[in-house]
Amino acid sequence: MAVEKYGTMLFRLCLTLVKDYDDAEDAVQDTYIKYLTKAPQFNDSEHEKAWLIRVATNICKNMIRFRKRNSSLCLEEIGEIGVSETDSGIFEAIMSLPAKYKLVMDLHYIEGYTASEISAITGVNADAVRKRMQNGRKLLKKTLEEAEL
Amino acid sequence: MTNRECIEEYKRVMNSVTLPEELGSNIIAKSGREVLAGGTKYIRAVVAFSGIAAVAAGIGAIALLNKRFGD
Repeated sequence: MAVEKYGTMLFRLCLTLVKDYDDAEDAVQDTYIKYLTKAPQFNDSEHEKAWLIRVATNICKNMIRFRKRNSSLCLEEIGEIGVSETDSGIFEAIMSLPAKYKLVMDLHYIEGYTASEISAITGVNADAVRKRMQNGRKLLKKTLEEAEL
Repeated sequence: MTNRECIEEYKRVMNSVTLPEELGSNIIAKSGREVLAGGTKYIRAVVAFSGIAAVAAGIGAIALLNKRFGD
């Protein structure tokens, strides 16, 4: 089932966007409810994956818009999602990056999408995706260097 | 720290994030319940509408019969 196949990928994506364990769970759940109720026809598994990413991203954006609050993960929750205690500082630093950078970085570096593919999924211009990736990298480097100090 | 090291660190930490098994099961169960609840609502609406339509048709038929054979 799609939950087992794409669950971790969607959960990671939602978590990086909403920065809250419960909100990420809700976002993944809402994505699957849409998946089950709309039952769209897909050409292949990549099409299915891209559809899930697009829906999850939109749900997270709506959540961010409506639940404007400074969410953060507690150490216990970080442990639950598989991040070790020694990496919690780095994880927190990554989480502190703006959502627009985290989204493109996650899709590029973790899911392996190219800038044009990310553009097709998110609806953001390909040049803007490249720019966000570049800015995200710079900010990540700065943030990680500060976190290591 | 070089750019490559920075990205490798990012990938390493982010790849360690997993969907907790319990959470995955919860999501499947909750999504299933929501979809079923949605389905039940739809069935209830259809049944209610059919009931109202049947009653209206019955009243209409009685009125017609009364008009034709009443007097």
